Amino acid sequence: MIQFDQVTKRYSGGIEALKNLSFSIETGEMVFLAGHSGAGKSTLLKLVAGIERATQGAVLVNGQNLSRMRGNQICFVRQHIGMVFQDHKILFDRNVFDNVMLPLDIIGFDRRDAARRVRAALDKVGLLGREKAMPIRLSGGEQQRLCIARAVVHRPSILLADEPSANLDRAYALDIMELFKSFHQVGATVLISAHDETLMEDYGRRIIRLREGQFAA
Amino acid sequence: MRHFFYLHAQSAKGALAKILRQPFGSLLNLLMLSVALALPLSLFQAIASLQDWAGRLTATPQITLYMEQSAEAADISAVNTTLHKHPEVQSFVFISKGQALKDMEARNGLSGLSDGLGANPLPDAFVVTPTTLDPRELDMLQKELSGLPMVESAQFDASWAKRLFAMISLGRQLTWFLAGVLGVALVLVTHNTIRMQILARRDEIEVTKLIGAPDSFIRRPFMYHALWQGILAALIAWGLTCWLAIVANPPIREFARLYNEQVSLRMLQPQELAVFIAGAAILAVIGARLAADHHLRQIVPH
Repeated sequence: MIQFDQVTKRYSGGIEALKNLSFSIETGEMVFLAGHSGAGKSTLLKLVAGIERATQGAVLVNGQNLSRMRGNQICFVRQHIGMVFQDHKILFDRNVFDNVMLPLDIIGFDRRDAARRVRAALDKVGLLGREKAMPIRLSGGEQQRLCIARAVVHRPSILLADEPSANLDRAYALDIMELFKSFHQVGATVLISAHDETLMEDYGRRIIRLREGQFAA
Repeated sequence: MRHFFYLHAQSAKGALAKILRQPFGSLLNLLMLSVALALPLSLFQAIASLQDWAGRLTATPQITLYMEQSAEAADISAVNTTLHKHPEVQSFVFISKGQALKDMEARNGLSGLSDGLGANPLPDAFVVTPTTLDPRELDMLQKELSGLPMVESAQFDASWAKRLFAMISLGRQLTWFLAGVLGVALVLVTHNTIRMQILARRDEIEVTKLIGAPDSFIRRPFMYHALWQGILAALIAWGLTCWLAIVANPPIREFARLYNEQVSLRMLQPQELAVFIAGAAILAVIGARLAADHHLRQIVPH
């Protein structure tokens, strides 16, 4: 489903975020991505989502080589990916419902089905009662869950989460991990990054450990 | 397909709502555009009105044949027959010297003129309406007719008509020049409006891009904004010219009446209005597209 083939990512300024990295993640797998901040976790997720391009090597998602794709094609790859951003990237000019509706609008979902799906996604993350609320009124944890609802509402085959449990207390973080687990159970390929390894060890899944852009021993 | 139309309808509605939601800011922009559009439009209106009037004046160029004073009834009937048979003569009217004098007295309020003059100084005349409108053929016809026996002269005074037409064509060129320059201004102003909007909504655009929106999805609301702006500006510009016509028509009519003419600024015809609105809309959309293509590319991710 996701395959990295000798991928190097160098940012302008010469910083190498990823160095000659090769691995693959199978369809339906749930994988954790561990490492300190600056280890290259976010860069790796951005390469999968086509937000950044590999400097060298090939990134294959769903059998498509993102390095070779043009900008106006990558958006269609992104439509099959749900991403939970570290900084949430919620739009504050519209309510909770419309935030979650956005991916369905982009894909072109039938309006009535879309509303049903938005409510289902909000129900799953426990925000159903707040669909009319403006995001500014939500707590940090609620904003995080709103971001998750938006990432899963179009039932993507790949779910990426960049530090979804950061800044949350442990009980809350566990809730969120359970959420991802349930998406994995319905068939999504899930890739979650975190710097707190204790949380992921409980799940007994594969952990990719990064240090300075390479696999940590 | 239904979704495609739904998205377009949604964008159109959203864009219009946005313009109406900020009435003051939008109004300033709209007024600027409307004034730019109203200038060439009112000039067009003036030129078109002038042309209508000139068309009524010279639609039937006429050649006047003046007979010699000594012409007899037989000479007149000879010319009469020639004109009847002439293929390039559409119609003609004979004005006898007596009738001409009477007309002159009546028109200029000089009753009793004939009594004072003793003999009638006016010649008999034929007013000929030719079939052709071509100035060169008219010249030839004039020469030919002036060669008829006992015809003193054939007058075809076209120089003032030529001058008028030259002025109208100059005015028309000026209209197109202004329309061109201000059309470019319309493109640039729309370009700037949309550029500001894109910059103001940078975050939103970034997020929609991250979620997988293609450029067309992101561009659509901006294009509709520009479209509405163009259409509304055209309508306001039209309103301005209508107002100009309403205000200016009474004095124009009054002025023309002094010359025994009927002139007034005419309103745009429906198809002219449609072309004008469509033109403004197209220019606005071009400006928006240029701005969108340029500035959306600068927002990461690509």
